[in-house]
Parts: sequence; structure tokens; C-alpha cells
Amino acid sequence: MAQKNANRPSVREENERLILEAAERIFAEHGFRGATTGQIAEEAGIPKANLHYYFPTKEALYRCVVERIFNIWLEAANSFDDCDDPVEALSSYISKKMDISRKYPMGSKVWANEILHRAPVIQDYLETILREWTDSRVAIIRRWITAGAIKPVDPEYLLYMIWSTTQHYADFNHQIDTLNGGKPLTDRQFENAKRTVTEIILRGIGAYDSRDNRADTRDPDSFE
Amino acid sequence: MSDVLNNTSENPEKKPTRIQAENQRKIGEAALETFAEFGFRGATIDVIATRAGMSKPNMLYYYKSKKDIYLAVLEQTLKDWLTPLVELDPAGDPQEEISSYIRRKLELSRQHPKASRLFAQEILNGAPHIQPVLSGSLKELVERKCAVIQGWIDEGKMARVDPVHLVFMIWATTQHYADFQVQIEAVMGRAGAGPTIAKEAEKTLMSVFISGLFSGDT
Repeated sequence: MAQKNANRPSVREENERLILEAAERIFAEHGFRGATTGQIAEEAGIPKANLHYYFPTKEALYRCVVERIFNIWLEAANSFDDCDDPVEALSSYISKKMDISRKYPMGSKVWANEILHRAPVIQDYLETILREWTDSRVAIIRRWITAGAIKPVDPEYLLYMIWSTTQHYADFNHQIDTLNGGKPLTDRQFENAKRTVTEIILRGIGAYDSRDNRADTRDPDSFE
Repeated sequence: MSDVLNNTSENPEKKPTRIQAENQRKIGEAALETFAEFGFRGATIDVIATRAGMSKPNMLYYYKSKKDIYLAVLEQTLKDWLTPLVELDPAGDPQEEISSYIRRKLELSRQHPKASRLFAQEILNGAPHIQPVLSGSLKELVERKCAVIQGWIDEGKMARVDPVHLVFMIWATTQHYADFQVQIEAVMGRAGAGPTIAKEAEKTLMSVFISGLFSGDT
């Protein structure tokens, strides 16, 4: 959603935001087929006719929801572009992706639901935009390998490791909360998660100097 | 899907006959297909029985209700996934123990992708049916095994990570090849190659985890 007037959202922008957030929750729970625009309008607290004014069809609305989380993810990887240091680029990417999972779990779940259902609506998206984007990140990772900044690993599989791990904290948050005694992770527990994931991946690809003994990730407020 | 529903192995006196075991296998496969296609709510006993190639009364001899079948499939999936975690041996070599867990977990994603996807769907929906297992035996097992990993860390045998997040990372990175199979195939332009791709991924997964946990100063 582009912000035209930096500070004050217009009525239109505000309504679109309400609808998209409601749609995320409904689609995350019921999937594309199971959700209705009536349910979404009710969740958003606006008349159904208004919803159809902004989003003529359920599919149009669904695509907006999917594009929204996708664009948020893409932005998180901008750190790749202006950085020759894999430690910095990947730490920033992993950290942002983890934060997104915490802040927008519903968007991530809509995406996961779509993929689990064999991507009926966004298959073209995967084959075009996601593929091109992946190829461009793969090229950067290959440059790091050539420069000797990281070990030779398969860049695609490294990216899948990062995607799957970071999105797990959104898509499986119900399981994570349950294993944490029925409570969401505290800020400190979440920082521990981030640190563990970042350390394993960066050390795993040899991006750290081996003498650099990183921080102790275990603390008294660790996972219970 | 060999023995997805065969839950009777620890119950030798009630070991199913060959025909019973075969029927349970058929029901398990049919149930996975049906739940994957229609979800829990949309799936019906009739469709599952038809696909399993048996009469409805015959199927109901094995499982009383749709919910029973669904739970049996999910519990079997969890059991398959957790067996290699249960076997994580505190007296073993940490690198070998963790490597073996990752390898076996990835192999399950290759062999039973539908079961993994059904489980993922259940969790995405807030675990409406399997919640008691998560908060009961799963939680207990994870705590026990995290203590084993923490023991290895305290002995200086592996890097200082938070054990539970390591476990989540192993779950996430291995199940991804089942749950996100369609995405991976589309991005790589290799439709239908999911199981092969998962096999190829093993090298990178092992290399990152092993160096990440066992290289350098700990």
C-alpha cells in the first residue's frame, strides 16, 4: 500500500487497511476457498458493498493480501543489495524476517496456506517474480563465495533454510506458544531465537572469523 | 505411506493381522488424500471409504469417526517425526546424534510429504484437534531432549545455542521440503522434482548445521 500523503491516511487508505487486515485474519484461518467476502466485511466492521467498492472480487482482495506480505519480505532483503559483507547482510535479513514473522504472522500464514493448497492463485507469481528475485539473491551469494567470504554452499538451499526457519515463527507460532507453556515468546526469548538462528547460519557458512567467539545465547530467561 | 496408521506396534498382544494392517494402511492413504483435498470439515467418511476401496461399515470397524481417523493420521505423523528425537542418545557423540536426527527428519519429509502438509495445516489452524498432544507428550519430550542438548553445550561439545530454537530450526528446515514443495518446484522450474530436490538439499543442510554447531570455539 503506497503512502501518498506521508502523515494523514485518506479515508480510502484507512478503509483499505482495515479490509486488508481483516482479510488476512480470515484467509489465514479459512484459506481462499473457505473464506467469504461477507465474513471479511464483518471482521473489518464495514458494509459488504463498501468492501466490493475497494476490492471488486474475493480473488482481487486475496491477491492484495498475498502481495502485501510478499512485498514486506522482499524489502527485508534489501540489505543484500548495498552490502558486500555477508555477516552484515544476512544478519540484517534474518533479523528483519524474524521481526516480520512476529509482527505479521497472519500474512505469513495466508502465504503458507496458499502453498499448502498447491498455490492455485499465485502459481504465476512464484514462477515469475519470486523466481527472478531468488535468482538475483543467488547471484549475490555466489559473489560472496567467489570472494571467499563464505564457504561454498548451494545458495538456493541456504535461502530456503532462512525462509523456512524465519517463517516457522509465524506459521507454527501456535505450536511454539504451546511448547512455551501456552504463552507467546517474550522479547528476550525472541531475541534468543534470533541469535540462535543467526549464529548457526553464519557460523554454518563460515562467515565469522573462527576466533570470534560470539555471545552466549543462553540466559536465565531462556525458553522455559 | 507405509504404516501411517499402524499404531499398535507397542501392543504386541493386539498385533493386527496382515489384512488388518493392510486395511489400516489403505485407510491412512485415503484419509491423507481426502483431508488434503477437502480439509477436515469438508472431508467425509464416505469419500475416505470409497478411496480406501472398502465399505463404510468395514472402515468404521477400524475407526469410529472421521475425527478418529484424522487424529490417527496426525498422531502417526508426530510419532514418525519424534522417534528419531526420542532416540537422541545423551551418551552418544553429539555431532553424530544431531546429524542423524536431521537426516532422518528430512527423509520423512521426502517419503511422507502429504502427512507433513496435513500436520502443518492443523497447526496453522491453531491445532483444533491435536492440541492435547502438543501440550502433553510433545512438550514433555522437547523439554527432555533440550536438556540433553544443553548438557552437551555445558560440556563444551557444541556451540552455545538455545536448544529449543535449534530444535525448531531442524523441524522448520526439514519440513519445508514437504510443506513448501510447490513453491520450491516453481522457483526452481522443476515441477514434480520435490523428492529429488529434498535429497539434494541434504548436503547444504548438514554442512550448515554441522559447521554452525560444531566448528570453532564453543
